[in-house]
Amino acid sequence: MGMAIQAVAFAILSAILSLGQIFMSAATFQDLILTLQHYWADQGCVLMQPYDMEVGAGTFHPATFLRAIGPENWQAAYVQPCRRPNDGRYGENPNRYQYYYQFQVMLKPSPDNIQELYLNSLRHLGIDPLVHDIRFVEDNWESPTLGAWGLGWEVWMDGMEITQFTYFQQVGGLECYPVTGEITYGLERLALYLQGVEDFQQLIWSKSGTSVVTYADVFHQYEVEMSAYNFDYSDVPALFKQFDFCETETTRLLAASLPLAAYEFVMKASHAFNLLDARQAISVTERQRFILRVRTLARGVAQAYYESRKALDFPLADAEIKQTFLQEVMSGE
Amino acid sequence: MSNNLLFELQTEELPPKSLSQLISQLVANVRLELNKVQIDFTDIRGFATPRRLALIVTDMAARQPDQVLERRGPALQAALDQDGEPTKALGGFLRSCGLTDISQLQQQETPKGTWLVYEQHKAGAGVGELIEAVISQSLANLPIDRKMRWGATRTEFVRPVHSAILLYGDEVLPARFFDCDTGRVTLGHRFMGQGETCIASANDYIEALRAEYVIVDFEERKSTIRQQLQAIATQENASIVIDENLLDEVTALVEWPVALSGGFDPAFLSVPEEALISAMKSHQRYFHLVDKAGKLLPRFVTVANIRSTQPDTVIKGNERVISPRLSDAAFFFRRDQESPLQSNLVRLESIVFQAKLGTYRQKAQRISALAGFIAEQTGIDVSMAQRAGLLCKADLVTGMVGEFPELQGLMGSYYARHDGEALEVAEAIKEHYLPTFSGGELPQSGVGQAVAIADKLDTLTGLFGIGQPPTGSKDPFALRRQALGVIRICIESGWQLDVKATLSFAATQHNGDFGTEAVYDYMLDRLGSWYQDQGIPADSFAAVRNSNIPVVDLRDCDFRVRAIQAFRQQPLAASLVAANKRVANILKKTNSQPAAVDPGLFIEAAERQLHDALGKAKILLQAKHSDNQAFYEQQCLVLAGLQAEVDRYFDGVMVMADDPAIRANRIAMLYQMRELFLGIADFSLLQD
Repeated sequence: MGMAIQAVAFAILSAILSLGQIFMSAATFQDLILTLQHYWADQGCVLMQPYDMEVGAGTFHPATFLRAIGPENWQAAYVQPCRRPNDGRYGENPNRYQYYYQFQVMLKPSPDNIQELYLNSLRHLGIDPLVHDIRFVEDNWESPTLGAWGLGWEVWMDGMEITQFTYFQQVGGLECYPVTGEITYGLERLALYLQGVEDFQQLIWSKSGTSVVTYADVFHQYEVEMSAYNFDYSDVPALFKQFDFCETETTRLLAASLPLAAYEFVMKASHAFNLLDARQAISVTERQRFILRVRTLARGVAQAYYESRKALDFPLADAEIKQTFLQEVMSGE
Repeated sequence: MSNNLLFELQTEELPPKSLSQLISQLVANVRLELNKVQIDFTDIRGFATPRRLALIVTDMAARQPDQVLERRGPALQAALDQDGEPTKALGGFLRSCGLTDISQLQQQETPKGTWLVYEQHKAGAGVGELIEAVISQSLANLPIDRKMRWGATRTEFVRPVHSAILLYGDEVLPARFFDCDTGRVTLGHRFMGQGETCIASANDYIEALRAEYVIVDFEERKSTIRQQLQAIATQENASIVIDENLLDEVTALVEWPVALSGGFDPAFLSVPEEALISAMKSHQRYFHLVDKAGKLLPRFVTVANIRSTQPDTVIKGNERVISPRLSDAAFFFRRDQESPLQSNLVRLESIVFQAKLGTYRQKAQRISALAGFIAEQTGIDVSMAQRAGLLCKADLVTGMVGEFPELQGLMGSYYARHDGEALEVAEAIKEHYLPTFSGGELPQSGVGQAVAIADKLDTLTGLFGIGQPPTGSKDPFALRRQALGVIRICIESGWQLDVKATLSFAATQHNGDFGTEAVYDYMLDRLGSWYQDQGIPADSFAAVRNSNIPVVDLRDCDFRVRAIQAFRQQPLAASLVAANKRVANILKKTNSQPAAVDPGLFIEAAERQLHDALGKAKILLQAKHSDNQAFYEQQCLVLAGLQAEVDRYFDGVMVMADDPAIRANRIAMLYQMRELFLGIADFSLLQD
């Protein structure tokens, strides 16, 4: 009898504790990041830090783009700030910013239970899938500039896209084997939900005692100024020159067999292109040509990176996967 | 013995737009493969949800029928030598059959002698042996745009496959698909189900999954959703607008549909409702509600894939999503109206229509001039047509069309009205893309028709001019549809438009020496197939196309084709057509030229009678042209009136008379008669 009561009490206590933990875990924007980091670290991911350059998406981070190439295993998770100059609205749109955060997870090879792993991460954030309408809606991904494509979904929660989910099929023009599963959370949109507010600006970034710091406190001025820069003040002729410079630099570094260094200039070229695009400085026909130029660079980097890993005999690869890769994938190329 | 067979592939979420096609194709493939291996069955029923493709084959036979395979060997004569010993030929044949003695072979009598044959009795294979290949082949033959791989497997499918069920009655048939060994376990609803579920037998499948919150039958789910949508409409005292494509897509996105309605701020209703509907439909897959007058209500219906424990939370979430979407639309609508449509023309310079055909700015100017030319011919206000032509592409650079490309034309018309352009101009901007699909709605206003034709003919002459006409498989500029659009507008608008002259005008506007012959022929070919689609045979149109009156006014051409079509149904048509064929042949052989007929050279009475009849007919045929089908039917009747004289003529007159003068005179009369007919159509081309 005593034992039973004790057991019930324990169950209730642990339920309260876990509930408390769940609600606590998503109370602020930074808690959201911390919870995801803990969760994915527990799944065996290498926690990386954001790449310190301007990128349009977490996919550009070398921990995804380059690691997706070749037969080596890799699991990583990281936050990546993203810049999409065209999406600037001077801080006036409730959920569209030119600078925002993604939480990126890449699992290679993609495990069979990758969808369940993802849904469990939502449960950790306090999202109950019996309350919300969570769906995987077809959304295939193609990055013409990276010479990459994959198939997958956007994940909807009550109609809002909160995550992109992609199985990479090709990167930098190279077939992906094994396949990388990429999970990209839109952190601000997820936070809107968890915090029950309508506008990015209202998000609570951190809370300590009675002191509250909001997303607006951290970023609003930046968003307004950067929108002005992107749309009104960027120096178009200088950006064109910058693009050309990055292109020649990539080519030069590839010739020197320095793919990682060359890749940084691909990222810079891509950002220069996005800035020019925001100024509508690139016409439709030219646009196609610019995309091709970046793609050529990205392909060159992918190939060079592949060669460099091959020279090291793919140290992170499973023996069996490596063999299949060399026999079936590369023999077809 | 027969039983029901169940096959299920449990997958990750399949693409909704192709789901119903995927399952119907799988069913068709399995049907074909089973027929190939001669396994009998009554029917195959397919099932599809976001996470599974399945099918049940009913009353499927357990085995193939037994078969007798016959192999013919050497002739009996060649099998044994003089000593009665087996020859090399016989030995080789026996070895190839795996036999040892001639007694194992049968003798077959043929007209050419006796032959040895081997009758191999093959017992029919059982379902268990055949089914894996049948299904593998059916899966391999599915039309999948893009296959994918996952993990470290080398197999490929639409989306990752997790398990496969293969049950014959209640027995698992062992097989392997996409690295999955078959069993009887599947998954129910992703959240409401209990997880893994065992299927006891093929007959239990539907209900076992229903208990796990999955309606496996696509059509049943679809009608459930339809009922739920209607119920909400009734409850809200409104009408629901159900786009069938959207309904299909939504059906493919849920296993357990629950329709929920929500609302948005009525202030958004100041934005054109087409834009609001686009935002709801294309981005969110929402259905919309309208009031009794058909006006959009600030409501929407979403179909969730769960019976939520807190439906209000789901609704509130959806309301929170649609609001920024609509506010983006409102933002674009406001910003687009800050500058007049005309000011967008400058920005059209940066959009290339086609590398060799210039920018949209240049195209707009060409459309404007061409629309003016058309208006002049057809009595439409020229300045309106020119204005509408100039502005018709100006909305391509607006924020709204950038966000919702399907609203092109429509937004332009809103903005034109806002700018104070004439209503006719605004309407024409909206209508000029019509028809947007084969058989689609046509522009109704005269100015709209002029601009629609101008836009399409500009594209047609341009692409033919630079040597990029459509090919069998490639038609990126939809020239087929555009040519057909011009044809339908010309015929249905009731204009007398000279298509040839209009094409010439269009061609000369391009920067290059573009001809019009190829486009003109292409359009007439399209016209011919358009008639065929309506059940008017190709020869009726060919008869008109090859008459002496070139097809330049498509409406007039249409009257003639329909009059010919009516005429050929009449009993006397056959002999007139035969006479025309005969005359055409004679004239072809004699390579004749027009010449005067001299009645003084007539010998037979039939000659004079036909001559008189032709004379009368000629006068009747010169009746004042009136613009309708009845006019040509009347003309055909006049020609039909010649039948008796024509028949009598061919019965009694030998055209190829020995006397060259008489012969020439007869040929001259036939020539005149032929010309008379050719003034309407080439009747000799009509087939029986």
